[in-house]
Amino acid sequence: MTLSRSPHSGAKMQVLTFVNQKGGCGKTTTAINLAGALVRRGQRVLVVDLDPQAHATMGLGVDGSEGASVAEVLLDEAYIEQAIRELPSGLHLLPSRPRLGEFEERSERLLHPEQRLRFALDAVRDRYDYVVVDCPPRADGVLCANAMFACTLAMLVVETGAFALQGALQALRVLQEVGENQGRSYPIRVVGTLFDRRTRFARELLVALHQRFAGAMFNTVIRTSVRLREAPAVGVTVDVLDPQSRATADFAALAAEVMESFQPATPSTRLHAGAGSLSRWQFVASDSGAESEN
Amino acid sequence: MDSLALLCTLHADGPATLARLRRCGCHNLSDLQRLGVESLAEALEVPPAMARRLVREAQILRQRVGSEPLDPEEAPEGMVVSPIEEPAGPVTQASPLDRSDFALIREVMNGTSVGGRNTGFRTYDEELPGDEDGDDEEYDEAPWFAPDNATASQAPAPRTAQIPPAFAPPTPDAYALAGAVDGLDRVVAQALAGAGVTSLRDLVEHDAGSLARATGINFSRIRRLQFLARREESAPRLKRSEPTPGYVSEPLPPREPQPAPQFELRSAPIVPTTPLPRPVAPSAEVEPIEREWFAATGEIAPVRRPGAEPLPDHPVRELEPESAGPMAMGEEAARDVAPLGRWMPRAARGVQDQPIEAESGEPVLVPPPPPRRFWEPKRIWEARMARREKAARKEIEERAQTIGETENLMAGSESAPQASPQATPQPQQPKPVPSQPAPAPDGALQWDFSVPELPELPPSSGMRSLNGAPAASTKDEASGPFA
Repeated sequence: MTLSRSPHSGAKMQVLTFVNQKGGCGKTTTAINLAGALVRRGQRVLVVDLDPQAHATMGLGVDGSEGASVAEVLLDEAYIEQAIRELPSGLHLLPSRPRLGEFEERSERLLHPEQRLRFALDAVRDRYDYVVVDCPPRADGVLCANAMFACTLAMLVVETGAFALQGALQALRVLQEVGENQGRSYPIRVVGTLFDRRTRFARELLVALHQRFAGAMFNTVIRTSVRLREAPAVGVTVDVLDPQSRATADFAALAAEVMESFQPATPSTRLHAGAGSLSRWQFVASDSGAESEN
Repeated sequence: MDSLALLCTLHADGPATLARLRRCGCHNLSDLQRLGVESLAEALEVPPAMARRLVREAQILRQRVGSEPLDPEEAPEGMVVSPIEEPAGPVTQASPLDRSDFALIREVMNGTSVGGRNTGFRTYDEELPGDEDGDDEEYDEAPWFAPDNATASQAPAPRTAQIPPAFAPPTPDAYALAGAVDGLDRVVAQALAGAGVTSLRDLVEHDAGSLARATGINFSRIRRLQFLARREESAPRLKRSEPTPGYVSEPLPPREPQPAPQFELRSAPIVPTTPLPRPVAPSAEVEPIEREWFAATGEIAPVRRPGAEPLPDHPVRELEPESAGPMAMGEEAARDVAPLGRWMPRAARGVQDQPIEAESGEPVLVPPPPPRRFWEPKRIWEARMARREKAARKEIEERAQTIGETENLMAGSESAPQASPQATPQPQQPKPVPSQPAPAPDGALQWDFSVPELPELPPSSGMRSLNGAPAASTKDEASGPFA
């Protein structure tokens, strides 16, 4: 496995966790296409599919039933280097399979099951700039706890549809509890997805999200596009399927914003959840992503 | 998410427009308004009308979210929020539109032609009709605005100076239309006055689409206002100074009070009337129905009070402490408790076999007669007892006869050689008991293992059936049909 050195080589590996308790809000689509956009910007990206449904694995055109997967890595049956696969687009994928549900069942008998992914990623810490983790819809399970323990930035994916605001607030509470249970803190940022400007409801909801989350929300909102539905069917990211599409521009802007948020000199406002924080969550102005190690 | 990004997402091409605005030094909504319409149109490569609309939306968005990023009760402690943007800059003085401007706006908005150039303009203010998926293809392909640089220079210069911004300071005539028709409040009247509509006639004559785009008011609301204005204009109005012929404008003279009508009381003779006869109920001869009278049953036993002596047919039943079942009170109580004791043992039913003497003198076990039940008439019980006694006697006789025959047979077999049936039976020899070992002279034990001889049965003796018939002997069996 050969990995090219990125302009940010030497920088700390950032683990982005896409999480929401609600299903169908675009977590997997956002994760794999943001990873593709980061690769286009010369970053070394690893996509970790933590969903037993293996939608990210299938969306990237990989058959997860062969070889080792993240299930074997978490169950200490394989090394992470054995399970990572390199895709033609330059992405690296740690695939998933339905056997990952077995890890949830056996986690009660394991020692520190919520830190297995973090320990596994330590082995490849120098090889990647970004690790994008696609979480299952259940935010309070052991798989999501693994992602939360390993993450340096939790990205809350909020669909601009019905019950979006309520779902986002509920997910924030769950993330807050997870952070308190783990005794650590991590920043949270909100990204809006499935935005359809033609509907007045979506416009009003986006304004409400802006009012509620303010600086914690990314400037880029992922708009609906047919290309985003077609790309997983083909097994590629949207920038490979149609580089000139609107969705490609959205994810490119989001990738630039993500990279900018980890730059040392770029102040950003984030939601901060975890131990030592306020009762619900707090907005903190951070200068870099190093705060996540607090 | 800053407000400028929100504006670009809501009303422009999202990150592409945001990047263009950032490149030209516009970082917030205030910068966008300071930039001016012409510079904005040039930077975004859009027509001035589109730039003007973007500025107007920026003004609305800043009023809506710019100064209030979070509700006060939702802001947690220690929150550091993005600084509130500066208030809007000075706006230009409004000037009324003329009809040619609206015609130009209509051409631009409809996307037909502006001076022979197809603009391809699309209004994002309204939701696109049709199926989402079907239109999404074209929506994906079509850019937010496709400027035609080759023909842009040939297009007539837009008269932007004559088109006032929608949000201009109110003029004295701004609220002239307020309240003229239903739904035309001060805000709408101000917006319409900014577009040059100062009377209902102007409102009726203007194009609804152009007014909607110029004022930001909903198209359907403009149409509704136009309809109401047209009806208000066409309604006949009556002036009080010109009374309609035939209409009496002068009030009627007050009526004089009229005296109340007088009524005379007249007396009428009272004629006695005969009272009507009372209605008589129809009468008929009633024949009594013969009823079946039963004979007197005698004196009725009084109801037993608690603590009184129990009635003979109603034995007092005491219940078990925790089982709600009757205690064992004896034979009679047990019999009453077991109404259907067919499956119960006889002892449980209180039935004890008592030996009775048969006529033959042999003791025979005959069940005692059951007591009379309390609901059973005495004569019926006596008849039943008589039948039972008769049957018992018959059975006793049969048994006695059978026993007598058996004894006769046994006696005959033993005394067959003597042929004396009257001979008394010999007393049975006692069973031999193993004798105690007698001590031997030398001290050793000696056991007697001799077997006593049993008396031989006569050859004619054998088992007899219960009904008294002699069982078939071996000889008879040998002489049977299979012999």
